[in-house]
Order: sequence, then C-alpha cells, then structure tokens
Amino acid sequence: MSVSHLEHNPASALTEPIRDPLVLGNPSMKDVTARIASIVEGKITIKYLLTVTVTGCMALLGIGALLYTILNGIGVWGLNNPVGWGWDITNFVWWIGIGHAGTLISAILYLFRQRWRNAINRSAEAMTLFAVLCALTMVLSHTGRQWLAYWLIPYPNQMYMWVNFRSPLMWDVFAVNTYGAVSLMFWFVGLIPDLATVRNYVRSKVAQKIYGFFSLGWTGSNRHWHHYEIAYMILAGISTPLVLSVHSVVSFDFTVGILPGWHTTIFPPYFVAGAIFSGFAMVMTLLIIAREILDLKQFITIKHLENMNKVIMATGMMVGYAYAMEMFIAWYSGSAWERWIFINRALGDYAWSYWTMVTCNVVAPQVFWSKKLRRSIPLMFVVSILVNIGMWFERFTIIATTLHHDFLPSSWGYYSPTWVEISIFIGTIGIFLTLFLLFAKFVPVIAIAEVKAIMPGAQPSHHHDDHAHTEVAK
Amino acid sequence: MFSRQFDLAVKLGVGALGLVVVVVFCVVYFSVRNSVADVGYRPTQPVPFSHKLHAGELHVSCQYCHAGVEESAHSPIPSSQTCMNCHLLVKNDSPKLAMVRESYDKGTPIEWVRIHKLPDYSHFNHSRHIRAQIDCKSCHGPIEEMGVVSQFSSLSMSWCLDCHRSPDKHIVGARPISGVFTGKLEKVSNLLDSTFLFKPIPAQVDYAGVTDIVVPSFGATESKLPAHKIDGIPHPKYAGYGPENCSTCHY
Amino acid sequence: MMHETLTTQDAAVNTGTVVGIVGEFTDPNALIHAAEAMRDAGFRKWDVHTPYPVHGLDQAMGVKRSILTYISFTGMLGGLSTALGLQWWTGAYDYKLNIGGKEFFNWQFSMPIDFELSILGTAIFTVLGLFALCKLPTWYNRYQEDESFKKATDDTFVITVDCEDDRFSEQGTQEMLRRLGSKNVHTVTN
Repeated sequence: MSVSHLEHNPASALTEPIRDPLVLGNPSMKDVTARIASIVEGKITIKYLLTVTVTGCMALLGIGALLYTILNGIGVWGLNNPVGWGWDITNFVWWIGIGHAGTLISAILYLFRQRWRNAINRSAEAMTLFAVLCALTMVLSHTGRQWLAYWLIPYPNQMYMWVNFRSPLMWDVFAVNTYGAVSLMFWFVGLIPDLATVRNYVRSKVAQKIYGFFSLGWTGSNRHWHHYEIAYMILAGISTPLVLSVHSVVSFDFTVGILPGWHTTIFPPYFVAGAIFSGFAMVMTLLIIAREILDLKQFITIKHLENMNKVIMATGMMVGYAYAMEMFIAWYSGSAWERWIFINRALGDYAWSYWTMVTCNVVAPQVFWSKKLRRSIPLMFVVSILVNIGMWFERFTIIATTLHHDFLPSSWGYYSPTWVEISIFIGTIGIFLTLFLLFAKFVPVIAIAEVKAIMPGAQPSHHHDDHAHTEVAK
Repeated sequence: MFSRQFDLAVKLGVGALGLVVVVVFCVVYFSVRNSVADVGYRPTQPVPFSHKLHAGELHVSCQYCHAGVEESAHSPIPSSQTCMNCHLLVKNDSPKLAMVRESYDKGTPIEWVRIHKLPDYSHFNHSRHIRAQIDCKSCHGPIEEMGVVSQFSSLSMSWCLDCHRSPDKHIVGARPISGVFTGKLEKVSNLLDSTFLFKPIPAQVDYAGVTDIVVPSFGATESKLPAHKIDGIPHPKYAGYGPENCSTCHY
Repeated sequence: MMHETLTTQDAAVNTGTVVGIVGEFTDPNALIHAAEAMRDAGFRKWDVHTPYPVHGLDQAMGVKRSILTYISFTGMLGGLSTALGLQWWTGAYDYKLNIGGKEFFNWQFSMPIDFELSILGTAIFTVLGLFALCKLPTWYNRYQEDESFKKATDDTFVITVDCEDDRFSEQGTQEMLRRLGSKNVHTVTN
C-alpha cells in the first residue's frame, strides 16, 4: 500500500495537473452523456434550418452543374489544350487533402496517446468522410464519360481489357477508394458505443429505434470492449500509413509525369504536409463554428484549438520549406525548363495565384508564434480560412502553371474556368457543409466513450488494495 | 427495445437483399454482353433478299455482290445495278423486286438495315483479313444458310482477341464460294462439294523463332517472315497471329 | 428526464422466467475487485457492461487474449496476395500490353496497390472480425428493458450474471454481488 497515494484522490494520477484539463467544469459522466446526446434531441432551430437551406442550395447548384456536365460533356468546362486539368483536379486534390486531418487526428494522435484528440476526433473523421466524398465527386466528374466510371475497377469483361496497373492514376483509384472505405469503417466503429449511449438516452421511441438499429445492439459488454479496443488500435495503426500514402499517391499523379514543375521527388512529403495543413485549417474552421453553435466549449477547449494551431504553424512551415526548396532545386538542377517554369510560376501569368498561395500559407500562420494570438479565436478563424484559400491556390498553381506553358511556345495558352466549374466547386462546398451540419445535429459529435475514459476518476488506480475496498476484499 | 423476431427478420431481410443484389448483378453481368444481347440481331430488310437462295442454292460467290472487299476496309453493300445485272432478265416482274427496280430506275439507293456495327473508336479492315485468307464464314457464320441474315458473332473486343491469339481454333477453312482461295481451283463445278473445302491454313509462323518482345514493336510477338506459300495472294506479315497491340484496331 | 426516474427494481420481479442478475457499480476500483472475485469464484456466463473501456478489467475478468489480431493479419495477407496476383495475372499473364516499354510486372510499380489493398483487407477483416467476435449486430438482448442495464452506456458499471451459469443461484449470487459492493442488485426476468 502506498501511503502517499492515499493523500489525494487516486484517480487524479491520470489527470496530469501540470497540463490544462481536457474537459472544463469538472462534469460528471452523466453530464457528459446528457450534454452531447441531448444535441440530437434538441429542437431544430430556425437558424439551423436556414443554414441547411443555404448550404443545401449550394449543393443543389453543384448537382445541377454536374448534371449539365454529364449531359453535355466536359467541353462545357474551360479546359482545352494545353490546360487539360484545371479546377476539377485542383478541387479533387484540395478535398482529399482536407480529409487528411481527420485521419491524422483520429489515428496518428491516437497512437501517440495525444488524449486531447478525443474531443475533436469524431467531427474530424466525419469531415474526412465528407471531404473524400467531394473529392470522389470531382474526380469522377472529370473522367468525361462518368457513366463508365466502373471501368476503373478491374473486372473480367468482354473487352478482355484490364486496367493499367502501371499508371499512377490507377494507384490513385485504389488509394482514394481504400481511404474512403477505411475512413468510413473507422468512423463507424468509433460511433457504435456512442450510438448505443444515445439510444439509451433519447426519449422518443422512434429515435430509440433508429439509434438502436445503428448501434447494432452494443451493450458496453467488456467482452466486447476487449475486442473493440484491439480493433480500434488496428484501424488506427493501419490508417496511419494509409493517410501518409494517400496524398503521396495523389502526388504521383503529377510526379510520374515528365512535365517540369511536376516531375520532382519532393512532392510526396510536400503534398502530405500540405494535406495535413489544409485539413487542420478546415477542422479549425468547422470546430470554431460548431463549439459556438452547439455550445461545446466545455469539451473543445482553447487548449485543443491552441494545439491545433501549433500543428497548423508547423505544417505551414513545412509547406513553406517545400516552396523554397522547389525554387532552389529548380535553379540547382541546371535544367533550363525546370528553371524557367519556376520563374514563370512566380512571375508569369499565374503570379497572382502563386503569391496568394505564399501569403496565405507561409506568411499568415506565422502569427501563431505568439501564445496570445494562438489563443485568439477570431484570429485563428481568419487564419484557418486563409490557409484553406492558400492551399486551394497551391494546387491550382501547381496544375495551371505547368500546363499552360508547355514545351512548345506555339501551343501556350491560358486557362480560366467557366460558370460550370465554379458552380461545381461551390456545390462540393455545399455538399460538404450540408453533410457536416446533418452530422453535427444527428450524430454524437464528440466521442462520448473516449471522453469519459480520460475523465478524472474514470480508470481504476493500479493499487488493488485500495482504500474503501479493503473490507470487501476480505 | 427490439424483439427477438425483429433481430431475426432484419438478418434474414439483409440476407435476402444480398441474394437479390447478387442475382440482379449476375443477370445484368451476363445478359448485357454482346454475345447475348447482340448475337442473333435479325432486322427485317426492305427487300426480302435471301442469301440462302443466292449463295446457298445458286452458288453466287460472295464477292460477286460484295465486290472489292479484298481491297477495301469495308465490305460494300451492292448497288441496285448489281442486282439488276441478273434481274433485268430473271424474275423481272416479281413484286418482291419492285423496290429494286424503282431504285434502279430513279437512281436512289435502297436503305438496307445495317447489322454488323463496331463502335467508332475501333476499326476493322476487311481486306487485311481476306488477305490473311480468313473466310467470311469465320466471322459472319453460315450466311449461305440464312434466309434473313442475322448477326453471328458478338463483335466484342474479347471475340476479336480470342481469334488474334489463337486463329487455329476459330478460323474455318477457306471456301471457293467466298472467293478466298488457298489453292488453285481445278473444277469450278465442284464449288459446293464438301470434300473440296479447303483446310484451315496452318499457322505459317515459325514458332521456334517467336519471341516475346518489349521494345520497340508494341506488338506481342515477333517472328521471321513466313514463306510465301500461295501464289497471287499476299501473305500476312505475321501469318497465324493477329497483333494484340491497341493501335491495331484503335487508331 | 428518464434518467432521474431510475429506482430500485421492485415491480414485476416475479413475472416470467429468470434471465439473470444485475448489479451496479460506480467506482472502477470496486468494479475491478468484484470482477476478480467473480472470476475466482468460477463464474463463466457473466459480464461487465461499462460506458467506456476500463483499464485492467480484462485481466480482472479473466478474458482471454483476443484472436482479432490474427484475423486482421489474415486480411492483410489476403489483400496483399490479391494485389500481387491481380497485377501479375492481368498484366504479365492474361493480356500482356506494352505500355511505354514498361515491364509487364515487377514489384516496384506494384507497391502502391499492394499497400492499399493490404490496408483494405486488414480493415475489412478487422471490422468483420470484430462483428463476428462480438456477435454484432444482435439487436435483441435479454437485459435490454432493465433500467440498470441501460445505465451501462451512461455512467454506471453493470455486472450481469446469466442464469445458465453453473454457479448461479438467485439468492446466493445476489448476496455475493452485494457483498462485493454492488448496489441495486436485482433479478431480471422476462
């Protein structure tokens, strides 16, 4: 028996008093359940309805533009020779990148035992799913004959044709779909216990049935938790290399091509850092709104936001390093084309795009060096928006500058999108936000079980001959 | 909350749904393919022309009407003038031929219904195959037995490739009636004598010399040129094998 | 609020057949001790229901190591061999197609898809394995209408002892749970 141990609450050994608490206000477990599960029971407010209407209209605009594209062909876009990839692939890479933060938070931070992730992982994972959905929308719509998209799957057919596994575009098909599927499984497995909690919390019979159905009859049995924890660990373990691979494979779409500006070995780490950068910015944007509207300040504390700002600053500087290194290597390589394309990137037709990117991605996050600014919510909101914009322009810059001036000056051109592409982009944002709003309202937005598990007193102390139980043990 | 019956019902329901999905998939997967959906396409033609009568009974050579097939990518549909070569004298008052006579008089073509169609992005060259001594029947089937012509082969890509890979299994013997000769005709009167049918051409490739190559032919195999076996007919460069590279058909 | 109406179970105790006994805990330390005692007493068909995974409860309950890792590993092998087989068979065996002079198959270019399908196989087998091991989904549960049992997803640890257990006796087991510090011990019937 440890005497010193009895001097304070044994469970407080886990609360790390030096650090800020992860849940404010010292709520009981019942409070946690009620606070999060009651969101699904709350009345649908006018404000919520209005927001969903607006985002829904954006989504409808995009769906309409997609239908228009399907009916008329992608000739209605601004793409032509020499720029064959434009907003479609820009948006695809942007959305896929945004998805990466969710998996990073849920998997990598889980493996690193970063317990502050527990308050934000659920919404970040949901964001991943919706972002991957938007990315798939973009990349499928750009295939031209969208109704034949199933040709991307290797299946025995009467053409005797197989997909070309030597093409990075094919790797991308596998990477993105695997990523979507694994993210969905990870998210759903994480949801099961919380859906059961909501099932037992809500009063409406219909809601009980619905949440009960999707909780698959979870009872919280420890014989189940036993397998569950291992399953969760495995999913986290495999999602970690997966998330690093997905954007690497996306970057192969560019690097395996031999065009100057694309054909560089720095792309995979550069893209992964950029993906996490933009993803964290998007999580930040959404969380700042969600914690205000859903009143989750107790769980998503300033400490969480500050930690995320640190990640944003770190990845922002990695991206900045990549920009600098690209320039350096372009000069150092001695390749005239490589040099020229980077001079053209910074000073040519798309210089406005390049400098927007540098300003938003490299300059803006530097404000987070100051602890005060790092904890200022209005400022971090602005910076998160700027980073999202900057990362979009990064992808656009990479794609457009390389394509619009190719090896033959006679075929140089300039690319601008048409209203169709702009509408589709607005539409994907609408789809994303609508799904996120529906998620935030109807699905437990914070991982209830995981938050409970890290609360003070939630876990047994390791001394079995503890006070109060000595008589029981005898 | 949920009864035991509900539990069972959902599981059975999901199982049944899965079964339905599998069945629907199988039906669609196996029924929309050309070999099922397109083979046997047998449209009614504006003029009730019978190949069975002309080719089967009267032994009119294929190339009498489809003239120029051996030197053209397309097999031509005969003009009304070709019909009238005979029908000015034969059956020149048959009501079935009214449309042909009208076409002949006015100079307007008959709108026959096309049966064999390939997608725009794939090209089939008749002359190339005739020169490889591939009989019409190999692809079009026993036309001389068809009163109304129907599609015999699926014309799918796998069907093409099957034959390009192992022509021996698919090519029928060249017959005199098709005008694809593999030897000298001794007796024209024996056109339909089955003993007179020519055997399939053995692959003329020198198998020992066949090697898989990667660069730079973009074809699957390379071999020495086969000997020039038949006088008067240009031999295919790689007789026996059809090429398998994409640009053979997609150009 | 339904959560405030929870009281001891008294009504309708003696209707229907006995399913098992339910007892509540709120202190994780007491729960661990109780689980150890139950394990040492030789109970087999019993369980602890908790709102979140409690450290050390597996050992306390005597739950054997999960075989899920082996299932996942099988999934990884399945995914990897599918990827290798698919790429080799389609590219180098079934239809050799020369594309830019690249080799028909080699391990270098197959890596991305090998990797992705390994991950996918692992994930699918892990989730399906989890479902199989936990017998999910099973919507029906014999304890589902019990108010104590419902608290197991909120803030209470709930021990259930099934009546099929060899050592089950309605009085004796109830008494044992009470002695172990369990509150609101009662028999569940349906």
